[in-house]
Amino acid sequence: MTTANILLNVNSIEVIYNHVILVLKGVSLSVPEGNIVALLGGNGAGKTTTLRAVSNLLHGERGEVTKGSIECRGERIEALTPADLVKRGVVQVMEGRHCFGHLTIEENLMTGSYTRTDGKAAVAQTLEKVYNYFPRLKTRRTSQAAYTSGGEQQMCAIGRALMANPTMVLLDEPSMGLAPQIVDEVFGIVKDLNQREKVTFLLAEQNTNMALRYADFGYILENGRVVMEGAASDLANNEDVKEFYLGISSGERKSFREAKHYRRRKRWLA
Amino acid sequence: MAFFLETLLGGLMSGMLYSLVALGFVLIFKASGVFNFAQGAMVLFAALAMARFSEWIPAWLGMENLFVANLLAFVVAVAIMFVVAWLIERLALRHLVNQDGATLLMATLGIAYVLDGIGQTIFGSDIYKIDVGMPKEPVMMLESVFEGGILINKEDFIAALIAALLVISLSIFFQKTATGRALRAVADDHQAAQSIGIPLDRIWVIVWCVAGITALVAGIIWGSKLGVQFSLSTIALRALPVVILGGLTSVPGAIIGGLIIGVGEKLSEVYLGPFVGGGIEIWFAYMLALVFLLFRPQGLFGEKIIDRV
Amino acid sequence: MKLRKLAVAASLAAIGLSAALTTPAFAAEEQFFPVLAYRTGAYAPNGTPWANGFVDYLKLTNARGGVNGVKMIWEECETGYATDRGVECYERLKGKHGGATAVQPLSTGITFALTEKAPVDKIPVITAGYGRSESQNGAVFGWNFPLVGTYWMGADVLVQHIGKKEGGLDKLKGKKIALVYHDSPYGKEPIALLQERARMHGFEVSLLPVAHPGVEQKATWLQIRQSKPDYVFLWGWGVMNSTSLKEAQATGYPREKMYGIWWAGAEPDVKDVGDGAKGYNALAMQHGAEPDSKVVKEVLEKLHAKGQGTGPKEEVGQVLYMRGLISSMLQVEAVRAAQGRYGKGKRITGEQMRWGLENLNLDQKALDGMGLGGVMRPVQTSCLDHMGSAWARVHTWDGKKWNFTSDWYQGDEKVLRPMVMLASGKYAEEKKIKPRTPEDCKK
Repeated sequence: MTTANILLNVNSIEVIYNHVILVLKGVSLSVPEGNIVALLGGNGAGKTTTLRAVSNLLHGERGEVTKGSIECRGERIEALTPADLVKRGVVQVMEGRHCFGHLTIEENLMTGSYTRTDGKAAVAQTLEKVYNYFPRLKTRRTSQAAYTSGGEQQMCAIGRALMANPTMVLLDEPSMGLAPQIVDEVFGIVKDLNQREKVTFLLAEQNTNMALRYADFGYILENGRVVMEGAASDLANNEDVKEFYLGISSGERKSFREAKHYRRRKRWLA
Repeated sequence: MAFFLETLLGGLMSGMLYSLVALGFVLIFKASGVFNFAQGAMVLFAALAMARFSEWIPAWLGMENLFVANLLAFVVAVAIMFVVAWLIERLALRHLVNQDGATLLMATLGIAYVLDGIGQTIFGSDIYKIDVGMPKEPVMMLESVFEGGILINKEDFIAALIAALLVISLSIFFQKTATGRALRAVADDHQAAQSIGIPLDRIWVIVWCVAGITALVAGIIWGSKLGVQFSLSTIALRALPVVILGGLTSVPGAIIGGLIIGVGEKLSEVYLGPFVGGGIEIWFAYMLALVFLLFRPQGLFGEKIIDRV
Repeated sequence: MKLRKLAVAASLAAIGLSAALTTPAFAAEEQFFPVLAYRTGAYAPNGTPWANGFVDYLKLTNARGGVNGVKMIWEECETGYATDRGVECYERLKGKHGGATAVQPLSTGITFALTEKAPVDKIPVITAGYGRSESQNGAVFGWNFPLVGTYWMGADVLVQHIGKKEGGLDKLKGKKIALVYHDSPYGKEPIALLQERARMHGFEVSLLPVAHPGVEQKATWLQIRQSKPDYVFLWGWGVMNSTSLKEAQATGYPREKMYGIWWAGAEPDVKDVGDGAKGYNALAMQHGAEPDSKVVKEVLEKLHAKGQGTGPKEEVGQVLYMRGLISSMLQVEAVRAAQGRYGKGKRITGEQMRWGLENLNLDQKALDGMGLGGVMRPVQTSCLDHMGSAWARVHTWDGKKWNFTSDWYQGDEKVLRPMVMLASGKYAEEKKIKPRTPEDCKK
């Protein structure tokens, strides 16, 4: 990894909500161009906050980056608006999908092209491309997003972000609330996009197993700090990760008593 | 029968005027989730600007042509409403992003007072005339069908036509343009809209501009009918039940709600009023709104209230 | 936090606004009059000229050298024609500058509210041309002065007038009169008299209330169109009047058949209706629009020419301006009368003011001297009669200005007196007031 192709660089940032609640306590990470980088950890570990800090959506939640810096291609971006960032090619797909429920699928997708200035034809082309990746969306194009399934909404949210023609997508918890085979489908498409369209992904995910299968690199967050990082394959084979996040251990299945032991250890780790 | 039809028509016409004001409410609520109490003040402000400039411009330029004067005054009034919209976003809303509804509501109450005050200070508190050449005398129709015919008010008719035109152009704007789509997106989900690069501040300025134009059109029609004076500002209160009935988020709802209230009011006043000593008109709309709040809070056409989990 | 800032800014703006509208009181400590006015809100177009005339006459009095050297001072308070705000204004101003001499609320609602406060504070309530009609009886209503006209008297004159038009009061039998009224104490005042007269002459009165502020009258006028009354009496105020005229035009009701009370017969009521109001009649409370009167010329010369006038000078002499001016004149003359008894050149108290108001005697010579000859008729009050004059005439809008179209009428004592006595007697019983006797009056 050389600095030249590092797309995003987060340097020991601290995030405080409502002036008092310290959520991130010095998180550093970097995302190389063309990679899928996974951000792992349990509930409340700070994954979403990290993504929001990058996409500058913190303000709406009364959060603030108080220390550290965030750079995109070497340019400081903390002070930009979310719209500026989208114009620079960084789009976030929010946790819980957040489709515009009263708009149709196609209208949802079209809103994604709001910042585009390269003309209707180019936008139409992108729309075609999105439909190619998500053929399911094409069949539901005229239905209101609120009345589509969770998987379709997740696809819609990703497709909508793609409509901005991004170089990097911040993908928050895409597997949440989806059936396993849908999760597979979504991740497959993400991988596809990454390889064929060269879209870089920063992926926050609780489903560690799934994320590590598709990611190139991973960071594990706990309580606002990065506690482990490494190539995805290394992490997947790490004993601790296996035990705490993947729920498998080298030996036979754990007994109930040992499960309690695991919980204790986790608390200690935190 | 003829009298019933007349009452019905009269109701429809005044309902149309309520709808115009209600539209302003709906537009802003749809796009920003703000219940804009200042809509009435905006109607008054816009009408005052229109009335005074249509009086001042001919005096400044020394010309007589009523049409040109009105046109220029209209342009100036639109520009003024844009400035007002921009100031409201800049000075108030920008600082209140993501606050809860009650806070924003209070802010618009404050805006209403400031607009009322400033409007009367700049433009005066006398009664002013907007003369856009609306015909005032009634015409009789269907005289062969009913004895004495049915009385129709041309002015109301034209007003209804203008209102209809405004609604159609607004629907096109909302449904077919990229900006309209963005407005609806913002209405659905502020954060998601922000996440895909829709700039909230600009969208809000646009919404308030559109509401400003609606206020101006309403102000011109009401003003030409009633004269431009302070009570235009209180007309907004009569549009309140309309939006509750029609649904806060529905443009067609605002129209149909207005019509229902207009007709209901007039019919009940004329046919039930004599038994209770009159004055039904005053509370009819509010009572209807109350019933709706109890049994169908989203209104007739409002979008279902889907709470996020 | 931001919200608080906004609220503070808004209220500051509001304070600044009302402060700008309040005339600063003079430094000299003299005869003090509170001015309860409304220059903003729904009734501002009508309240403003009244207040301008009112204040201009106080200024004119000072320009004439005061009342035996006593200067008039005043302070304005904005009531917005709202009863609660009016009472607040009264409470705020009643004790200022040595105490209020008299108060003129320009609202029947506020008058009702002050009627019980005034005797306690010993401040006369002057309601020239409005207020409660039974307060003409000074024996019961010791502190109310409905000078120069009450609504019963006004309604009585209107009935007399249409009776004359029809060729005699007996010809009113079977006629239909619709009363379109402001749904407030003000608008309800004439009902009692009209019903009394209806009983006497056999005509029919239908009551059509209009809610504040009166911009919604479609149903009212549809009812009128259906029932086709022979006459419509209009008891409106502010924007309600012009709305009535516009709706009459829109439903084709002949304006010639419409008669307004004197509060529905001024320029703001018809101005923006223009030709649509042509033929509309209204009572003139003695005076009409008096641009040619001597007092108006004096005001223009002594005040407006020097830039000391209140309001635009085009408005001087208009109907409501004159109403305000005359209302103000009556209180100034009462001060003069009181000084005659309690000492010339001295500041008088509220109680002494009452004596002055009960002993007003403005004969033709006095009126001529003030430049009001031809504008109004002589006024003479007494302890028992707090009205002092029951004359009125009708004027008609010709599309551009008001012109007198009738002779003088006098309210019929035979009808009015029993009603006043009955109603005030009831009030005295209710409030346990012992009516004053003629002997009490001599004290």
